[in-house]
Amino acid sequence: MIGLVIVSHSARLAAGVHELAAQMAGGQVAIGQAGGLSDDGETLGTDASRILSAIEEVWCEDGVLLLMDLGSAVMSAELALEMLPEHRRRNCLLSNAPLVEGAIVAALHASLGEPLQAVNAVAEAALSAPKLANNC
Amino acid sequence: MSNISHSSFLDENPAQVEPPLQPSKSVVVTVSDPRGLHLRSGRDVVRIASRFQARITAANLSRNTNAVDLKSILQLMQLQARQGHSLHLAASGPDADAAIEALCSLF
Repeated sequence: MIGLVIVSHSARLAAGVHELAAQMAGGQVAIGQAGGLSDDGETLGTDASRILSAIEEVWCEDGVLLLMDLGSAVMSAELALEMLPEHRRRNCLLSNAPLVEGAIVAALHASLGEPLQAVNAVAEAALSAPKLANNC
Repeated sequence: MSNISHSSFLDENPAQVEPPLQPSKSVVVTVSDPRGLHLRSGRDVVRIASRFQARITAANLSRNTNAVDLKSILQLMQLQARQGHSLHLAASGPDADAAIEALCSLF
């Protein structure tokens, strides 16, 4: 079963998205979080070494999917992957999915035992999923 | 000329142009949860639906929505189903009956 890492500029946002994702996964998926720049959660920003720690915490051979909020979160996540040994980097994937919807979908499908690429595909489909009933 | 005769051969062979008939089953259920169909109950619906091979869809008759894929949590949330809303569940595939039976108990 794959692991997930939630990356956000805000520690509180990362914790909140983690909370939602954990409920969707029903406790069956390892979900890490890397939010903010400081341990007290007060400084906004993203840090590659914090992301690296989160990846290592949930690491498994099936792979790790990273979900980021935006902007430098993506660059920091890329940096974190570069800091990983090659054999682990191969099994990590940066998702293009929106953070909240992507984390919810990814957690649910990861808990169903789906492989890394498949989980990312359904999470990224959230990019084109409207919220309002009128549009479906 | 050989291409034309080849395609007319295909046209005469129904097994190659028509999909096989699949058992199908549908039902209308009413949402009983006072909070409607929310994320957590939606998760359970997707989880059960994913156990079946059948293609399963749901439409919210009370909102007159199109049918969405019941194995997708985001599409399910698009139904915006409140307590009392009627949902049309439809399944087609080898285990369609069992899928509908299992899903009915969740609403």
